[in-house]
Amino acid sequence: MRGHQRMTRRDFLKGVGAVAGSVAQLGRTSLARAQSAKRTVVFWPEANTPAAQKGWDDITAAFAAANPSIEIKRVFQPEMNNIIKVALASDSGPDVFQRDIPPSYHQPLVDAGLVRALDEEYKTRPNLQKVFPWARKRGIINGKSWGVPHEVEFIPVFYNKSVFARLGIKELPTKSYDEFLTLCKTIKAAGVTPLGLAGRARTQPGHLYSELVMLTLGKEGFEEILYGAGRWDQPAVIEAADRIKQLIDLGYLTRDALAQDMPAVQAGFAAGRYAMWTTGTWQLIGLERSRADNPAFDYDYFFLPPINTALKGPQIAGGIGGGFSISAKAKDLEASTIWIDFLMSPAAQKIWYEVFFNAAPTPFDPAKTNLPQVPRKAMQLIAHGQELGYNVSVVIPNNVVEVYWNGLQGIMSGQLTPKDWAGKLQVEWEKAKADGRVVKP
Amino acid sequence: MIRRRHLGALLFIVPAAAIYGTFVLSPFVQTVWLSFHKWDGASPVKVWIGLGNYLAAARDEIFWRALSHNLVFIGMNLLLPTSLGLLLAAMVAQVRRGRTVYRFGLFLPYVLSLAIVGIIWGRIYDPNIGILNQVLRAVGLEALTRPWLGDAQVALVAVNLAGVWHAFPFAMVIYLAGLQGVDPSLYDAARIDGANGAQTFRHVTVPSLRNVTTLLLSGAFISALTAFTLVWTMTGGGPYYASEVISTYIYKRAFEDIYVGYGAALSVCLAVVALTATGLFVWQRERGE
Repeated sequence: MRGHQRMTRRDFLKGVGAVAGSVAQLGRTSLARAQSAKRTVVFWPEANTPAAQKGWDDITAAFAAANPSIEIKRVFQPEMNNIIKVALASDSGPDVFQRDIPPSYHQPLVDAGLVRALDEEYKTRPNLQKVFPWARKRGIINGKSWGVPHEVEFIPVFYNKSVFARLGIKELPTKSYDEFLTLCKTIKAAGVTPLGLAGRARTQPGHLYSELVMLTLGKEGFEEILYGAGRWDQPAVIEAADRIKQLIDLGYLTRDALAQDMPAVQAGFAAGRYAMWTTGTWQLIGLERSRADNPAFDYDYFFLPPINTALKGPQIAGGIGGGFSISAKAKDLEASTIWIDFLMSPAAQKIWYEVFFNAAPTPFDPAKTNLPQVPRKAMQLIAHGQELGYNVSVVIPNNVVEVYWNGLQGIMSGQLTPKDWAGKLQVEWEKAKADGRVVKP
Repeated sequence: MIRRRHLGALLFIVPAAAIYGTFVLSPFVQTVWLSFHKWDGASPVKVWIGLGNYLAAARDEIFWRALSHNLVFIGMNLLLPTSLGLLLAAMVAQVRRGRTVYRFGLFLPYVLSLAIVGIIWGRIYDPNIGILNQVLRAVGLEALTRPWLGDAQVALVAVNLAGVWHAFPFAMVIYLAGLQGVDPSLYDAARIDGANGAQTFRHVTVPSLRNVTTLLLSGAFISALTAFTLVWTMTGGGPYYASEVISTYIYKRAFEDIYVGYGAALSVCLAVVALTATGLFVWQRERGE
């Protein structure tokens, strides 16, 4: 026993330290191995509202559960339009990003070789195969698909149900545009401004115009301008703008509209100051918030009735908005594709409908979603797979958009006639053509 | 020995020169270079078009309209905030008790960012719920109510007045500081000569603050020429370019229409106008001393 050396406290602590060190080292090595095995996709979504963050949290959590080896690194970019081009061109961009994919937004990226064509992925990925062909077609540039359309949107006339009830309006205009004008007259006579419009936000007069031009020129007539030899200075284009002027001249749409921004109009619509509001279904989330905040407010929508009765079928302004694209320099193409495909999966889509009130152009059953009444009604139309008309500004080149938006303000403020505006649009369109900027399907 | 001293001076200059070169000179040279190209901001190909962008600017009616709006901005910016600031400074300087309270209260608008000022004044000008129209209605001047930011006739001036509200406190504080440097014996002499308050203000205060005024006017001139934030947040340049200024127009052409080369050419034009006008102004003021 004497020969047996007793372990001192120092020896014991040394031993424990050595064991702990080895265990820690082992842990670090395993963690490093695990981390190196984990694939990463840098993803830039657009919206950063608390609701959107929650939605994205849920979607990424569902993706992580299904694909544990891929990590999604999310960086919200509310100013996506301003930075994506520079970010991609300087190699500091994401692997995958969310942004509008119609040509007016996407073509500069395509022409600069900054995004990747996804035709192969459309053939092989199960959820991408389900995208409605008409919606996929809207994102085609130079004969290829460069993005996955994710938001189908349309532009109806939202109306304040409480105001309509108070004024005893029971019938919505369905047969002719004159019925709509009569409705406006009734509302105005009751001391309420018939139409709200956020003219300061420039895009808004464009939404009303898109509705009117679809009803005068029609989807096919508009496509003739976009893809064929159609001209902007043709009578139907001018007539649609004249109808905005008419609404102002009759006092159904006041010049105050040019001084209003979106929050002011939304508040005015919810408060009953405006009986109707022409905006897109992207506003559903805000309208539902107004409904939650103000129990006296309820709303629904209808479509403007026909103007040109020779046009066949409903002419609904709308189309695709946001979508997902993969950078030409994505570090892990396969992982990026898996992520995009997941974003179009029923599991992800359900979250998208319920949190964002937005629908992708894929078949789905709105009955299986937990949605308020009006968003559900809107989703049903989209789920039907019906091809929509156009929201003009998203399918024309940026320089033409500038003339389009500003010109509508000019018409509303009496600085420009519809005919002069149409002429300017044609000049800018020809300039865009010369610069190779027009839609190249 | 002299060479060593130069070396030391050079060492002190190098960091500042490097920063200036990297963040001011280099972008400026690049902008000039870009202005001779047609470029969409992303494409690897920049097409050399020589003076094409400058010739297009000369024919661009919106560019000239925006420039004329900048002149309105300059006129209002040179006149209103400085004169209001001077007047208030002279008044506050006379206050014996509670001067700090006045100074603090009057200075408050300046601490707000221009974007916030734009939002606040956007609400003030709101045609339905804005306080301006409500006050006009309350005092029986309903005929004067209008959609201030949506009316092409008044939008530019309406935006400008919001800028004046933001800018006058800075002028006031600088003038107050300047007033402390005025020799009190000049006021004593004026009093002995029988000058009244207005005469003292005109013949003693104003001339004594000449250098301060030069400083403030140069600053006001540059800020009016490069005005962006207020216009952008309040009207976006609309309705139909009625409040468009050069900076917002450059932004739209370069980053919204993605004619980056053209935007660069407009920027160079703006820089030339700003440098020339400021140089002439300062030279004129110094020559007069």
